[in-house]
Amino acid sequence: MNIIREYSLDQVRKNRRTSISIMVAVLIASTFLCALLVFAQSFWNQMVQQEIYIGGDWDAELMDVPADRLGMVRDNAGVKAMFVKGDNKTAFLPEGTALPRLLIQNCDSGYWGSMYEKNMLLRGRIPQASGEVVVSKDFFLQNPAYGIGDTLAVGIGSNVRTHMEESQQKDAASLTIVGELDVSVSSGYEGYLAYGFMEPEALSPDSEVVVYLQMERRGEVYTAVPQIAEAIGLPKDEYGNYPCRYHAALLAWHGVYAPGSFWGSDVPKLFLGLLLAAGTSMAVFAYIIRGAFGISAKQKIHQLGILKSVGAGPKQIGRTVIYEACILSVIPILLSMVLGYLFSLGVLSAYSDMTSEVFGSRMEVYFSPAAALMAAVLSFAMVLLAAHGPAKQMSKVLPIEAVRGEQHSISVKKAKSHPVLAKHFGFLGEIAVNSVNAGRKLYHTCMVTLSLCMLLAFGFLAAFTVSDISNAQAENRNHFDVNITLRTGERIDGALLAELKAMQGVQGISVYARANCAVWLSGSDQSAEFLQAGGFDAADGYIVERDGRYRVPCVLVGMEQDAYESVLREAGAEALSESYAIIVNSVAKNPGARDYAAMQETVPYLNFRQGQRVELTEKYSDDTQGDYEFTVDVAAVIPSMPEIGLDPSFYTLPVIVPMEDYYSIIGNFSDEMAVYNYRNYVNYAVPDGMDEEIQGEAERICGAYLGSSDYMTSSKTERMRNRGRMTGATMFIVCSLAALFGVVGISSVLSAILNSLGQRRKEFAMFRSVGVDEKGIRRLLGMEGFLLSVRPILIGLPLLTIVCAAQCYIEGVSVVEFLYAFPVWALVAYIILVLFVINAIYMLASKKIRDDVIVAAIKDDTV
Amino acid sequence: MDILRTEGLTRQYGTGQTMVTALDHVDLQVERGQFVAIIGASGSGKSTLLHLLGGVDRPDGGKIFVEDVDIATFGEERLAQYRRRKVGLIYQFYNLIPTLSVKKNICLPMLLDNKEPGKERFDDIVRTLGLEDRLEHLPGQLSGGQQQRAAIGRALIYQPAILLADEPTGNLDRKNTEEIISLLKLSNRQYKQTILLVTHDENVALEADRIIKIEDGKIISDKAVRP
Repeated sequence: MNIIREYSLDQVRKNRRTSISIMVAVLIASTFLCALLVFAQSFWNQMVQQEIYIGGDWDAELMDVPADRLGMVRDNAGVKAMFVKGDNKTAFLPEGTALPRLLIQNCDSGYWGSMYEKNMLLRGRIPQASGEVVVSKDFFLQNPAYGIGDTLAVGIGSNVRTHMEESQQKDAASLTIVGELDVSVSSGYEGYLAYGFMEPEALSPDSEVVVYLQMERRGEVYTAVPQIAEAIGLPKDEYGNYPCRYHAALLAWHGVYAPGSFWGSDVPKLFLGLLLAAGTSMAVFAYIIRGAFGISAKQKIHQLGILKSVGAGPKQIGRTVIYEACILSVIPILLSMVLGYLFSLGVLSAYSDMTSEVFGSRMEVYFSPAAALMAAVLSFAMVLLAAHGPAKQMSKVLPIEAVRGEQHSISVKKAKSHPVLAKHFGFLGEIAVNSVNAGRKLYHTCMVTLSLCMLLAFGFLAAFTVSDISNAQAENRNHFDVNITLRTGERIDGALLAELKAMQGVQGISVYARANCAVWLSGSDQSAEFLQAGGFDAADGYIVERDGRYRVPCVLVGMEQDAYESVLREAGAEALSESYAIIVNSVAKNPGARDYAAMQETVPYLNFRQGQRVELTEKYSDDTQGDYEFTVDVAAVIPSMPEIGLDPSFYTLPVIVPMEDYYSIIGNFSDEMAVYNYRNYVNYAVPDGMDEEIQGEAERICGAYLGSSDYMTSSKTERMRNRGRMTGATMFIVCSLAALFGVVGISSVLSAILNSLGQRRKEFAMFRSVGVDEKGIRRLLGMEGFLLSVRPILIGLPLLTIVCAAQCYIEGVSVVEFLYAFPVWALVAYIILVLFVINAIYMLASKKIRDDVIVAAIKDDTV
Repeated sequence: MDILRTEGLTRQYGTGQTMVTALDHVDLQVERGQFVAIIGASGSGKSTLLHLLGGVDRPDGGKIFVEDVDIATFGEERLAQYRRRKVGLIYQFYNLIPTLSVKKNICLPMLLDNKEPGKERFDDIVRTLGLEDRLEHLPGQLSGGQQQRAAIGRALIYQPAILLADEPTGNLDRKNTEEIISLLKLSNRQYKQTILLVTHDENVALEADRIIKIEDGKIISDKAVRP
């Protein structure tokens, strides 16, 4: 074996205490990195699976594909798999059913296997053959005589949805109900939604279907799919696009983005966040482990000096540290794979227990060989990085200095006097503080590590506290206690809205819909007050200026007729004959203010007046595909937004119209925004303590009309509970990770203290030889321990205070509010723990020193 | 013919008011095969001179010619090679690696070069040093005299042209001192090595061919004891 390797191995064996402390530090650091990657991969996996669960496992969708071109799509080299949905039919139900039709969408086996509808199955199974259907839950609710397994004699016609469109020709057929789906369709369609089965080969050549594609190379989807569309002869729309759609959310999780949308997505930000977290952790751990390698290198500096003096080159000396790093990291890194997984399993299981009710699903721990390999490589890189510094330092030392141990000795340039300590603790107090000062370099890592642990754990805790206070403040400002969002992608059933409006026990109710739009104005349209506050030019980022015209963002709000008229009456205006709107003409005077009251101060926004005609456009941003323009006449200009639960963002101009007008306007918007714009929001103000009961009743009503994915309810109590759970769960993860930092910190402290005391055996023996008794030694070490343990607290506390103050400042939270909510007891517990651990280490070490034979310790034991 | 020559060799420690000049413009020539003793009081600069000649310390000024090559200009790697192959250093406190066997300690300079010593030469040195039955022991298992012999073995293994001994007997009793000096003289005669020996002991110094006395970093006398 190479002599340098052999020497390094011997050193590892001989210096067990240092070796073990390095191995522990590497083990925990690697466990941390492994856990971080397991967390990231589990989170990624959860997101991908969730996206597939709710949106299906497809990359791109081609619409209006003629059935005779399906073969061309399937045979395309870029296509991995193809699923087909379409050939929609209407089945006319036998007499006696509440609604007369089943609106059937047929899907092939690939579609059923990969898409999300199978997840909505409440009972039974999915269709596996032609003639089998699964029907929506409202079919069974309204027709209790029917059940799964029943066969219906129906007349099948082409795709019609209302009696107005009823087809002439109906072919007799029988359908077997094989399952119940949690889906719904608006009652305006006069039918029940159902899904059937089809063989694409059996489709008539002229029928058009929707094709879902999984691509061989997902990364090329945005270029390959338009080429496929072109190859099969699909026509472009008026905007020059092929009728295709992409599963952008799923693609983004796989790192595939539409051109220009990379930075707009959250995934790169999350990835960068992970990189930052991993990089920072690696740097911090490398710093901590570097201290351990530094101690080890200094312990054997005399021997390294000997090696140098007999001809070992600087590279060979450096290699002794690197070899040591390699030898000491192999076992901990391998072991950390197991520990990292077990740690992740424990933490994520506990996290899932806390959050499963909030998210509606549990996070599965996902551990892949790739993640393990990456964790191992990162850990090894971290160890090499940590060892690099001491290796370089050792290779530069002059041989004679190393042989004499000059690098090893503590040098004090000037002895300082400490009158306060001397007065209260005597001469020994002065010695203690001088010793701590002299060993500053040695203890540096300990202090930084313990300060970092404090900063990390309590900094996060402060962030959560501030965010919690901020959320609670926002919640308190929310006039409504129960919020319902109805999102069917089409006009909401009037009967459902009527039932919700008739809810018993509520004190106030608002129903509205909203759509983004914009108005182009000139500088002269600004009010004098707004101009004084900065005007359009101060609203950079919100208001776009082009050729002297300004695009002002607007929100078109649809209100129920009676509520709309009530607002109009309060404004003292009469309705105009045509399309008429109420303009909420106010804008924040100080949008940059941190103080809530200052932020709420408003001034008149624009010079709009009653009777004026305003031209609005659907194209509220350059990315908006549609460009439908419409006009409204101003019926009234009011100074503040009616209390409906909508809080428009800065510089957004609310334009309120009656609900019917709203629907007729957005009916002309491009399809892209239809799903969003048809959303209805219902808000209730309820007596204290009643919100969850009302929410439950709202859930029941919505559930009777809609599929569970078509509506969402929340209440103040539920939100508060969920916030508490989320904060607790996230803090649990943060504290678990911070605890790993803490363990590394404590192990490095232990190693540094034991090493320092070992080096100073001679010094303590000398004290004893001149008459310092056991009590004196204990007192001396006790004071050293106290001074050492106080420093990380004295460093960490001001830093933590700065972090907390910055967070409070940014969020506009007062110190009193913060202190009331921040768990000061946890901080105190941490401080006590640090004091206890360091002092306990000193007390244990002092016993060994007291047991030393004075003459043996004083004797020079150089070999 | 000079094997070793210094010109204006200077070494200072510390800075400002605390600066100490350990060697002050020392000029010295040593012929090949000479046995030179360097004497002087503690802190006179004799060990510093030896360390500079051995390449384990760096001068602040002046030149050190070894076989007409100035080692003061060497980079770290070349200087390490010089220490391995050209000089052998013996210290008062032996400075053996405690975790390596005696055999490996002796062979260390060659092992660092990834070489093994010839068996005949190794056996010859070990026999001369009387360490045949101690080769697999660790340094801590040997007496002081035996440890110093192992250190001499290490200095001799590469057959360096120059042997530098820094108070090699300072930690030994009379019997071991005599044995070590005999070994050095034997090495000087048998292997034609140039030896520079730093010592406090005048009796030891008298065993050399030439005695140089240093005081306050300067050579104050340089006498030939025997031709």
